[in-house]
Amino acid sequence: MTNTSGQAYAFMATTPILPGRRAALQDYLDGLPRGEDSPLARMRTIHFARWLVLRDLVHQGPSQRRDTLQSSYLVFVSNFDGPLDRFLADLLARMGPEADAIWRNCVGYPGTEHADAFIAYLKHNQIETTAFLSAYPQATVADVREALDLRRQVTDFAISVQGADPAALRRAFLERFPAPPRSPAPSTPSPTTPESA
Amino acid sequence: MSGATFPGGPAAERPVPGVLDAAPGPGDDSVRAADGRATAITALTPIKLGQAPLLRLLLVIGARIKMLREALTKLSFIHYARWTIISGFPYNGAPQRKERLRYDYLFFETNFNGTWDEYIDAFSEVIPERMQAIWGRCVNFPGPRPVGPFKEYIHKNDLPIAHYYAAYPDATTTTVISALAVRDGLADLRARAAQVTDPEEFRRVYEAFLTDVQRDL
Repeated sequence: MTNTSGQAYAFMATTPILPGRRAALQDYLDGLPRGEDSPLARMRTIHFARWLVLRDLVHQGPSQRRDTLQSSYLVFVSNFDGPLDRFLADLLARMGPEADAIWRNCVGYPGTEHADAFIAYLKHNQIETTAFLSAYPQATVADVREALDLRRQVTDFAISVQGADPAALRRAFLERFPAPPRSPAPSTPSPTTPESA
Repeated sequence: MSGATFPGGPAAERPVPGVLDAAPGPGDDSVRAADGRATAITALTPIKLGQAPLLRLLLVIGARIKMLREALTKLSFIHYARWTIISGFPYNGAPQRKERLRYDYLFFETNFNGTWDEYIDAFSEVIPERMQAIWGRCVNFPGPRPVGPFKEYIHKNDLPIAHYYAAYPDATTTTVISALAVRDGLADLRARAAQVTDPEEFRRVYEAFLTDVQRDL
């Protein structure tokens, strides 16, 4: 499946922008809060994502025959924890108002009242990936975040126990990193897990 | 961003052929094309007429074999990279007009650590043959070396990003991979710790774990 690498999905949708709406859409996207405050942060399954406003094709020079676009396109590109349908449903659930404010500027947009129609619209405008590569294809966003946190904890711990005698070391380790429970918690968030505040 | 448009009416937003401004300088979009240490490039380039099927084959196979996988490992600062050949845009009815593209387009999307310049430098230095194999099939590609014209080519075709998000913006790819290794090693150690009751033996096991992951910490 060329859209996937391990458990990661590479999605792209190009939706034509309604005449007269491009500037407003650009302004809205420019004004979105960034970093942790981005609406995309609520998803928790997105590794990377971007929106672009594609106004026209760039001409390469005299040797190229001129090629132009009839419409401007909103391009949404993302790498997230698959599968696709769950992601799109999640997008609607966690950032419905923002998704609406963005895609309502595009031709054929059905609104957000019916999840099926919204999902179908984005899938209709999906461009299939040709080749997708990831440096850590099996790791979900949750895996990565947990691992980064553990790495910090291990570093802190190693420093804190320097010079400790073996008994104290073992005690400190067991206290800091207790043995895992018999059935380990899933590392990926279940889609039905309620959002914690 | 400016660009000439016809005055008034529904055609006001239609792009005017040939009048689109060249891509803004790197400084203009550098704020938007980055999130923390994560940086983005989005390049769209026309493929030489007739070469799209071969390029598609190359990319599909390349993704499965060493050719592209190894490239990613050598360029250890790339989180994710994708190539997509665009042959057309899906149609949604009026007022969208059907596109009549003369060319197929190679779309390249990447997320990495470091500056834009460092990234292109690395491509040019480390995997020039692979760059030539892929972008050599695009119109007017100057070749990966010398790096100057290569940078100009990519920069010219690098699309401005309106909004960019990265989930772990302060972590480099190397850090992520290291952290995942530490997590695995730690899981093993935790499982063993309860069973290894002799403190000296535990110390040996612990030291072995630290040795294993020292490069990752």
